[in-house]
Amino acid sequence: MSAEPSWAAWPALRRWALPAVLLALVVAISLATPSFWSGENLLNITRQMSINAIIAAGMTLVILTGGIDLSVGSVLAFVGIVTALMLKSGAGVAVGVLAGVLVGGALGTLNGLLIAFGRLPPFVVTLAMMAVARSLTRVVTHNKSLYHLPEGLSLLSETLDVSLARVHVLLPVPFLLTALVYGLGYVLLEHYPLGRYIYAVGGNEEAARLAGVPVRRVKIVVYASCGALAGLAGVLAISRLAAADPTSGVMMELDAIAAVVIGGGSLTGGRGHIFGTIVGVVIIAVLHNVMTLLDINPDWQGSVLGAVVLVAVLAGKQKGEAAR
Amino acid sequence: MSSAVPERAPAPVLAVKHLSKTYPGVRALRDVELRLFSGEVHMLLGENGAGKSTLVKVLAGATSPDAGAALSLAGRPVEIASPRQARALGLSVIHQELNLIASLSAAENMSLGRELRGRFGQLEHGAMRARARAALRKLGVDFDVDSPVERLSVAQQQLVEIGAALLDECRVLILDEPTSALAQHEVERLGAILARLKAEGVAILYVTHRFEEVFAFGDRATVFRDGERVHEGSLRETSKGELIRLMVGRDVRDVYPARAATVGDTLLEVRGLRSRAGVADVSFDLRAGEVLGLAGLMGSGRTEVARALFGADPSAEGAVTLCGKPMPLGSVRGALRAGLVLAPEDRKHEGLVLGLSVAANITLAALGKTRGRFGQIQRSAEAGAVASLCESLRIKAHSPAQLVSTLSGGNQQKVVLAKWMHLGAKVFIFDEPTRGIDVGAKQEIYRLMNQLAREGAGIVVISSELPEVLGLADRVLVMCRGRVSGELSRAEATPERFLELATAFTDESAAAVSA
Repeated sequence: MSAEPSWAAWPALRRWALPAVLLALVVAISLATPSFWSGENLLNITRQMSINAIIAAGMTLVILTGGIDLSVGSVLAFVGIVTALMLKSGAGVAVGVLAGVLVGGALGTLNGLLIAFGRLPPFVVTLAMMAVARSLTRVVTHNKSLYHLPEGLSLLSETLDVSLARVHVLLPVPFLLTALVYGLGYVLLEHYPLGRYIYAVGGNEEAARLAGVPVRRVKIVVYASCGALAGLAGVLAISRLAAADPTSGVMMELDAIAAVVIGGGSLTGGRGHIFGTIVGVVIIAVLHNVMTLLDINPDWQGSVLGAVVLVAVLAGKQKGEAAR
Repeated sequence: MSSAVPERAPAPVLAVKHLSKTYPGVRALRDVELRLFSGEVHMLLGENGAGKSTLVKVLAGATSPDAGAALSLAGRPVEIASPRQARALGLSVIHQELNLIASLSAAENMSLGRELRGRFGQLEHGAMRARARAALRKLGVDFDVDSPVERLSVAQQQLVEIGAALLDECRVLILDEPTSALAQHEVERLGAILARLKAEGVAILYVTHRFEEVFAFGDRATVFRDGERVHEGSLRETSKGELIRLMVGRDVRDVYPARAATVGDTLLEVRGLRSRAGVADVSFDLRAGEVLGLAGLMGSGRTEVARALFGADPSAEGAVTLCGKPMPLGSVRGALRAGLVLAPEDRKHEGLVLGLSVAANITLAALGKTRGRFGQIQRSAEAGAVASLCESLRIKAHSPAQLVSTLSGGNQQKVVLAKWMHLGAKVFIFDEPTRGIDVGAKQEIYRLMNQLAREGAGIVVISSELPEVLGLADRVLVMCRGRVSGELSRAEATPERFLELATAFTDESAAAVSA
C-alpha cells in the first residue's frame, strides 16, 4: 500500500468518479432525445428538480452524521398548509415564507432533540414525525387542498429574465434558491468547524466526542437544518402549484435519500459530498424527464430509479470494504 | 526445564509442537510446545504480549499457524482451520469476552448451531431446553434456562458457554482469563466446576494472571515469554517467585531512550478520584517534566483512572487541579480546555476518525485555533500547522489528505499525538501507547514522549507491558482493585516489587473495598 498511491489515498478522485460516470450516462441518454435540449425543457427540469434538491441538501447533512430523516415529505406538506393558512389570513408573503421555514426548522429541532438527548434511533424518531406531521396536515385541512393563495407568492416560482451585457439569461427563482442552498452548504461543510464536526460524528461518534466535538449540538443542528430546508421546499411547492395540497410530498424522502446515495453518500455516515448530492438530484430529474419525453409509462420510473441507486452503491463500494 | 508428566496419563490428549506464528513485523510465537493431559487443569502463564492469546487463537481455529506446526489430538495429527472445525474436534474456547446473543435465552444460546430438529425440520424447543438444563446440572448449577442471557450475571453467562461446550462433548476446554469479571465466591464456584470436569476426563487449559487461582486450581503450568515456551512443569514443584522470574526473566532492553528528567512544579493534583467503573480511591501528583507510570494487572483500574480524568466517564468524582486551577470532571470538553488529554488504548475506535484525513484528524480538537474573520477555517493556517506537526513527528503519509485508516499503527498513534500537541495540551495520558506497534515505531513514540516531558509537559504512561512502564517512568504507581497499592521510584521498581504490590490486596481487603 505504501509504494504506489492507493485508491483510498485519493478521496477527491473517488468522490467524483462515480457521479461523473453516471452523469455521462444520463447525458448520453438525453442526447438520444432531441427535444431534451430545448430551452423550455431545460428550464422545466431546473424547476422540477429544485424541490428535491433543497430537501436533499438537508438530507446530506443528516446522512453525513450517520442519521436519516424520513419526515421531510410530511414536513413539506405541513409547512405548505401552515404558510397557506397564514397568507390567507392576511400575512405578508415574506412573513409567510419565513414562518414556513421556521416551522420546518422547529419540527427538525424536535427530531434532533429526541435523537440527541433521548438517544432514540433517527429512523424511529423521524418515522414518528413523518406520521404525526402528515396526520396533522390532514386534520387541519380536512384533507382538502387550499386554493386562491395571494398573487405575491408566485414570485417564488417565477423565471427572471436577466440581461447582462446583451446576454439574455433565464433564471428561475427556485434555481437561484437551490444554488444558494448548495453554495452555503458547501461553505459550511468545507470551511467551517461545524462541517468538520458533521463528518467526524458520522465517521466515528465516540472518537469525535473524545476529541471534544459537541456531538449532541451537531446532531440537533443537522436535523433542524434538514427541517428548515424541507420547510423552504414546502413554500416553493405551494408557490409552484398556487395551492397547498395536504397529500404533497408523499415518498419525497425516498427521492432525497436516493440523490444522496447516488452522489456517493454512505448511510453509515462520514462519507459523501454535497456536490455529489446535487449530481444525484440532476440524475434523478433527468431520468424522470427523459422517460416522460420518450413517453414511457411513468409506472416504470421507480424501477429505473431503483436500478440506478443499486448500480451507484455497488460501483461506489471500495475494494477494501469487503475485506475489512 | 523440568517437565513432569503425570504417571496416570501415558499420552497427552492435545500435543502442540513446533508452533510458530508470524504477523507482519512481529513474531508472536516461536517454535512453542504444549502438552495437555486428560483430567488436568493446565495453567498458561506469561506477560501480556508473551503469545498466550495467539496460542489460544490458533487452538480456537481463529488464526492459522505458520507452516511446520504439528498438532495432534488423542495421538492423531489434526489441523484446525476454522472455529467450526475446532468445535467438531472437541476443542472449546471460552473467551474473555463472552460470545453470546444477549436477547436470546440461555437455552437458545446453548443450542445455537447445535439445534435439535423434528420430523418437519421444526425446532424441538422442549428437547433443547431439557438438554440445556441437563448440561447445567452436570456443572452443578441450576438457573432459569428461559431467561434472556442479558439478565443473567456474568458468571452465569460464562456457565452458559461452558454448558454449551459440554453439549459438544468437548475433550479440551480452554478458558481465557475466565475470572476477570467474577466476584470471589463465583471464582470459587468455577473452581468446583473445573474439578467436576477434570473428574470426567476433560483437559483444561486455563489462561490467567492471578496467582491465587494458579495454585488453587492448577495441576501443571506452561510459561511463555516473548513468544517462546520457557517452562513446563508441575505446580507442586514450583513457587510463585519462580513463576514470576520465569515470566519476566529479562532485563529491560535499551529500547528506552535515556533521559535526564528535569522535574518542575506540580502540574496535576488528583485527590480522591473514584468512579462507578471501578476506581475506588486514587490520589497522586504529577509534576511538569515528569513521566509517571501507572501499572497494575488487568482489571486493576488503570484505564478507568485515565478515562475518569479525561472526562470520558461521566460517573467520575473527586478533586482534580491542573496548573492550580480546579478541573471539572465528567466532561471531555472540560478536560480539553484545562489541557489534559488521553491517547486511548483503542486508537481506532476512540482516538481517530478513520474515514477522515490525517489533517482533519489532527485539527479536529482545536479548529478554533485557525479561524478567520468570518469564523471560517483558514485553510492555509491549518495546512501550515499540520505540515509542521507531520514533519516534527515524522508522520509517514503521502499527503495530509491521506485517509488515516491507511496509515500504519505507529503513524496512527503519531496522528493522535499530533492532535493533542496542536491543542497545546499540558498533561498527556498514554494508555497502552505502543499496542500493535512494531519495535522501530515504538522507539519513536518513546522518543516523542520524552521530548514532550523535556518541554515541560506531564506524562502518565499506562501499560500492561511492565518493562515499558519500568523503562519509561521516573516513578511508578501500582494499582490493585481500583486503588493505589504503592509507589515505586525508578530505582525500586523491579518486576518482583511490582507484582507484589499489584497483588497486594488480599480477599479481605477487596471485600472491604467493595463494601
